[in-house]
Amino acid sequence: MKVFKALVVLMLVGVYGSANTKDELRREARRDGIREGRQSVRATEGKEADYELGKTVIDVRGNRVRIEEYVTRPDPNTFKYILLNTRENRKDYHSEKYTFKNSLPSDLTQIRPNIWDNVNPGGTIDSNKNYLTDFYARSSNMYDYVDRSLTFRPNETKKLVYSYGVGNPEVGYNEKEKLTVYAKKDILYEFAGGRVERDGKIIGRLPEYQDFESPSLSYNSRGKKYYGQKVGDIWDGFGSQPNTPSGGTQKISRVNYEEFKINDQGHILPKRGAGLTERANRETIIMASEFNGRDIDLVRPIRFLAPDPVDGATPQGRAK
Amino acid sequence: MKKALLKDFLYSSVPSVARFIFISLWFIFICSVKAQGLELVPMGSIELMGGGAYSGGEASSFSGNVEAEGILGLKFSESLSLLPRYKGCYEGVSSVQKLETGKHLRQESQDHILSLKLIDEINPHLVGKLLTNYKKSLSVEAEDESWGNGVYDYCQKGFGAEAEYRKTPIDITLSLNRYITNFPNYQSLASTFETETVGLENVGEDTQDYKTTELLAGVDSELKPGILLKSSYIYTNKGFLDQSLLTSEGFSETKRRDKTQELSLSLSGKKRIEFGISYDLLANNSNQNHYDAEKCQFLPNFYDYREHTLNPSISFYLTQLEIFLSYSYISKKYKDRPKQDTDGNYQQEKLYLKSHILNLCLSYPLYDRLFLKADASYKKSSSNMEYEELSSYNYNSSNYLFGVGYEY
Repeated sequence: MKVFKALVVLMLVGVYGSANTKDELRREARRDGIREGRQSVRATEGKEADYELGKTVIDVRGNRVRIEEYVTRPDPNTFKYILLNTRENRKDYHSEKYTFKNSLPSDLTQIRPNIWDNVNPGGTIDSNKNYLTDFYARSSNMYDYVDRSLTFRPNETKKLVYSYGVGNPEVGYNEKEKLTVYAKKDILYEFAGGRVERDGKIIGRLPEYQDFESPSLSYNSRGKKYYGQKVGDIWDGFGSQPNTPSGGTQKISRVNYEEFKINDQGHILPKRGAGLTERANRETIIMASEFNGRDIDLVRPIRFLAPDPVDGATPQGRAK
Repeated sequence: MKKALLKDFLYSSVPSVARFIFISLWFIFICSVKAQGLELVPMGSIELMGGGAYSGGEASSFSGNVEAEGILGLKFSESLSLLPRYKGCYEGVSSVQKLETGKHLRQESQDHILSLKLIDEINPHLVGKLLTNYKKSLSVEAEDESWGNGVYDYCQKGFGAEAEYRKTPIDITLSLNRYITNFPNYQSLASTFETETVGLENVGEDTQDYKTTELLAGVDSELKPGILLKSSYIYTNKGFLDQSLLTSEGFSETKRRDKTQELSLSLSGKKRIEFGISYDLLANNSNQNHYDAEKCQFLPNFYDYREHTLNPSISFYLTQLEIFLSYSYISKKYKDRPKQDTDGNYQQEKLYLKSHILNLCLSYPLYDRLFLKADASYKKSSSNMEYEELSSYNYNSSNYLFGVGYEY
């Protein structure tokens, strides 16, 4: 404070230093300013590149989300997409692992658009063609998770098995939906009568009925509009009229997806086209009864996952 | 051994503030030994400005900027001076555009620079200079950020040496600066996650931190009285400390290195009207590549570009009102980065960006060294890039600021 006061006094009194000296020193200070300007530009290059590549965005809640995406090759037949998100006080991730029958080329652009092409539950597979045999995806907030898995074995009795469920260390894995395609083209959607196992013990039954609404403009739990939702109200299977909402006696679980298409500043963008499948920053907030109030909140620059054969199907028991 | 110790001292083990103080004390010691007297030359300026910005049809709210600089020149003899200097600025912008949660987008920053320069006039034509500086830059850009924990906060510390040869009408400068930039709150996410990191072991942790060596050679020459030709060449070598090189096979042990060359030419003259025209050529060559995970596309030489800038300007007085008008044309062409269509698909054509910037500054003396100032600029940016989901390439923006400035 004393130094500051002394400086102010010196500036006000202004009796020191000749004009020539002052001009000379001011010129030096100006040169320093130019050099510092150059150094500042170098320092902000990394930040600008991050914004340009969508590696840092603001989410719908106004918080900064840093994003990193990677593709790794655990073995020649497999590649894995990894999405990492961090906010000030939380981490979320999403990963998708694709395993093929044969080795994949090093340049994945050759197979990337056609990942699901040969997953054809109803038809035959050309043995010369490479095809996806296993798919596993997990979204997680480091505690709760949503899992999706698919196995495709065209020459076995169970040709295709798809499973979807949520869980965490407290409740274990709760399967919400299971689809099995048999060689004889029978398709079994297991919502009722199935078993929920943990540690080899049967602890419950799969739900009777799931109600999935179509993506639409709607309002989220905070009363703000968002685009696209996928809500699952899951009922038990003990009602008098199975396979209908009234057939269940109680809601046993709820999985709620809120999907936002946002720009880098967290503003919701106008909906265009199909909404959920178009390319944009997408923020997906997943809530489930099992999460005990927590959520999984993922922002990704684009939709990586190509539509799989199970999405868009109309299994038994789905009202809409 | 001595070289290693010096390197260790300048870059790593000793805390940066202690380093800055040590070099400063050393400068003062040299001055005290050679001092023949002491002449104090205090200088300073302060600028208080307010204004707003428009971008893509959206307006920001009124914001305030403050910039202050204080210099206490210490002249120990005819040939020896010491120049301690502080410069600080605050820039605040709060967008009027609310987020969907009702909160505002925040964008505020503050910079603080401390520098110390030792100037020794070795003979009437040759001046030697030594410099050390420390900078702290803080920014807040989100609701969950506060001062000191911004992701892109950084500190820079450096030192440099400069030789200036002056013999009318020519002034030749050679300088070498080395500095290190640390982003204390920025670590790669791959290094902070406890899971899903198989295959990402080589990504690196402090991926934004870098060391820089900057070489500058400049020649200023007075062609005729009042007509000045300036030219300079700057070579910058930016070595990233912990950012691994991404190859088509994955992350390698080699670190990223960016080399920038900048050539500047400017001609200015002063009669009744002061005019100037400058041309800059900047070439950036990086060994770093990029992998688009969504498209599974490897993009070599992603950061290599050439940038041309042409900048004519005029400055004149209408009675006491000083008017400065400048125009800049910037053309940036990437060497190998391809453009993308609206769906993000990569095309054969390489990416380019073009900008036109118009700037008007007014300054009017109110009293003694107190000035009324106004500044307005308009920018039109265009590009062949059609994929604008992640970043805008084709847009117009403008901003205005007005306020007062005091210079001593």
